[in-house]
Amino acid sequence: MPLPDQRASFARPAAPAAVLLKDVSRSFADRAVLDQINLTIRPGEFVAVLGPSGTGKTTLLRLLAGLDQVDAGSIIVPAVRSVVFQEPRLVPAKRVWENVVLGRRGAAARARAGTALTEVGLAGHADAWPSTLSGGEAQRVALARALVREPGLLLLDEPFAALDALTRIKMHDLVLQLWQRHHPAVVLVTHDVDEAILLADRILVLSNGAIGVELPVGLSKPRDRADPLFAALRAQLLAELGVGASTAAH
Amino acid sequence: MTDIVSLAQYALSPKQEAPAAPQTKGLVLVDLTPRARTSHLSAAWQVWRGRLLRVGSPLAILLVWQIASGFGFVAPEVLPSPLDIIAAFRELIAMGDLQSALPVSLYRSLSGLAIGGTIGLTIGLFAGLWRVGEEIFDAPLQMLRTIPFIALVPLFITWFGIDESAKIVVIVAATIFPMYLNTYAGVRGVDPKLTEAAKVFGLDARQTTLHVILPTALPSILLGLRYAAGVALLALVVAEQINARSGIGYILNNANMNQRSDIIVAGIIVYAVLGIATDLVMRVIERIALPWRPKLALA
Amino acid sequence: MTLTRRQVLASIGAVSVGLASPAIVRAAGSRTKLIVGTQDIAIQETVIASGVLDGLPFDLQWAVLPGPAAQLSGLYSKALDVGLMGDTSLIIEQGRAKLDWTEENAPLQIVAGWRNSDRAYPPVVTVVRNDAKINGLEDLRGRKWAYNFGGFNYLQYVLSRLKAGLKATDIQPVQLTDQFAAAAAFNAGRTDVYSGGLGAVHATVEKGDARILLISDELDIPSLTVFSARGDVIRDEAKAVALTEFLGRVRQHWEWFPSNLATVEKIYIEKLKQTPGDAKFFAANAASRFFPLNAELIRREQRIADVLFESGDLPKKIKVDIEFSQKFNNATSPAA
Repeated sequence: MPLPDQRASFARPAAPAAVLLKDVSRSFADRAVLDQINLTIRPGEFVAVLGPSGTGKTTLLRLLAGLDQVDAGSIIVPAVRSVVFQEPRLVPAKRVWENVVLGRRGAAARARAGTALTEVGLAGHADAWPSTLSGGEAQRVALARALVREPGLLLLDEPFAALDALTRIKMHDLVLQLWQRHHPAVVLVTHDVDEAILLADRILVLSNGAIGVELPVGLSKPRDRADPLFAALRAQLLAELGVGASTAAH
Repeated sequence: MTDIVSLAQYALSPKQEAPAAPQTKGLVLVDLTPRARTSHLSAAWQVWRGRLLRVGSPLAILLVWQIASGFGFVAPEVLPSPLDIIAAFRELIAMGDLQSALPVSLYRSLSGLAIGGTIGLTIGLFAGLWRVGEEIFDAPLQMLRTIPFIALVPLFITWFGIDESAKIVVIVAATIFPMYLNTYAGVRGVDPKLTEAAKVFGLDARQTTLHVILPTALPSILLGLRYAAGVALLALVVAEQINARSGIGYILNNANMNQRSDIIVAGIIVYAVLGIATDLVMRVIERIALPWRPKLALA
Repeated sequence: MTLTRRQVLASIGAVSVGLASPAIVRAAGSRTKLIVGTQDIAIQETVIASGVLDGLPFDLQWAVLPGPAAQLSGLYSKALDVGLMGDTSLIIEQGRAKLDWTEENAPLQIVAGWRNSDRAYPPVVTVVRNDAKINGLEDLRGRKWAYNFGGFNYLQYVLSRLKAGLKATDIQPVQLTDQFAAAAAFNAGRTDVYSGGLGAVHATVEKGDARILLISDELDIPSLTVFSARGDVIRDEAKAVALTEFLGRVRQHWEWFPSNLATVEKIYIEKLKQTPGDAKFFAANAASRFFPLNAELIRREQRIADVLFESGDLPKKIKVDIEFSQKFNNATSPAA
């Protein structure tokens, strides 16, 4: 059930780009994980990347983060980038606030960490040790750590996959709030179709190393899962991912 | 869990109107309902029984040991009786041997530990942080660490002479390896995901080392220090074969040559006490240095 | 917290830096210095107690290094001028040396040798446990036999076995690291036979659990304890004078010894931590005299070297005479 105007609404952005990928390829052991990808992301745009395992989602994210290098093509990204990984990746020997401003010391750093922690609702945990936090709290610290640097590009690598369903809902709200306040360009890699529809302005589906489908999400935020358009998008995306509507319906 | 318990309660109490069906189907049920709470009296008894046994069982062993020795079941040269060992302690203290041995030996151990520990730490960090360091040091140190120290005494004399420094060198050599191995393993054991995160957040190599690698490797480094401290005490027995006139190792060696098993056992007890003291010191150091680690119960 | 952690690391570093410069103060001055190695403190304590060192015209330094290997290392590294060992140690050294020893290049020479001349205190023995029912040499076949390699203890084992007409394969040899370990195995009843010093097993003998089967004299083993000096020390005029003086005074000490056994026992009890019973035995056992390093001794030592060569313990045939310096015989045995 394709939406009538979806292709039309996809137009080259006039605004300056935050991310510019041109003919980007990356292969591992002769297997092309990414094959001549072209992608532009506007500043402040929230993009979700969906796709089955092994289709190059993580590779794309690592290229954008600067943790990996392209084999061919050009890649231009903001100088300041942050990543929230699937696991919190906090230094266990550092207090929460020290983790947020990792590498920096002093009263100013502490104050910045305090502000960031207040934003994620963890002001009271500034002096706690990471081992005392719950999974959701640790991931919120990771969010604070990512945002305290005021990144031009925020990369989210399945950051809520390990959280329970209720915590995940709260995290979605929090991410939206923070995105609206700081407005970085965001690339969210996820398996969760609903998560992508809830958060993203545009959804990419990767398949066989290429961008198979690009879907803009025309719904206003915050979004309602009960919205029929939401359901239609979900069905379409699931179909793209090769999951029939009947099997996906629960 | 609660569900199973409640089901069990139903099934096991016939007065309840719950169906007995699960039982007839051959489902085996367990009653996990807590029994009547233990009374204060029996709780107090349990505490006291614990204390009594803790103190009582070593005392009982000592008593049996003394009786066995006293009636001649155990020859004194095989195992001296507790009273013989106490007498050996008296003798060592009366002659001033123990009082003079402890400071001398502790000085040797601590000096050797400080130097050897620093060397091991430095090389361990070097090899852990830089591939070139690993390439230079790891293979030689892995080879050297298996050399039996007791066989090195003649070589140590040849290389380092017979002065006080030669004794300390033995301890230095013995303490380098545990410190090196644990520092190296600790640095290498830091989750690469953490250093990757540090890279993403713009930390340079120095900052990553200082803020991520070293703090995370510190438990392993302190474990190395703990081993090295133990080795520093054990190596006294070897070190104090080199022209020593005092020290715990010397007392043991001398007792060995003169077949004083009571003094040997007394020396072992001194070692045990030093081992416990080392452990306490290390616990304090770990508590100060690793406040983020969950505290282990001391019970 | 970070500060405390830093402090811990910093203090470790500071201590090590402080110790990296050990203040080894060497005695300065023109007085000749002689460094004498011993394997335990017994002889130096009795020499000092005898008072013979009063007014010594040179500086004497003692160094305790247990075991012949440590003594030899000390000598070769010049940490020692004189070392204490058994008379066979140099035979083994020479036999295993890559270069042949000559009068000019011999790195070490024996300068004095001593032992207890009373047959009641044989230096080395072969002892058998009474419960092993060994009545004579012929009963040694197939027995467990404890000994340690090197020195006259080993020789006692080899010659006892040869005297019984047995090869190593005819018995169960139990070779242990030193005579204390060998004695411990024997005393605990783990072996039937023991060859080595009597001191380590005398308690078992006195208790009636074991008896002496052969003493070293019956095997013509000189079994002297000796002082060996470095060749360059012997050739150094000042050191040689000091060594002559030293050996002369040790001779006086041996003369003092038998009439001062009570003092010796007290030293053994207090300094060596021996039990009074052991101290009594060891004091009497240690009462020795110097034996001249003469042709007769060299002939007996030569036989030892030949035996060790034939038993395969020496890779080459050697002449032992260059191991003995007769330069100090006047100091050790004025009458000879």
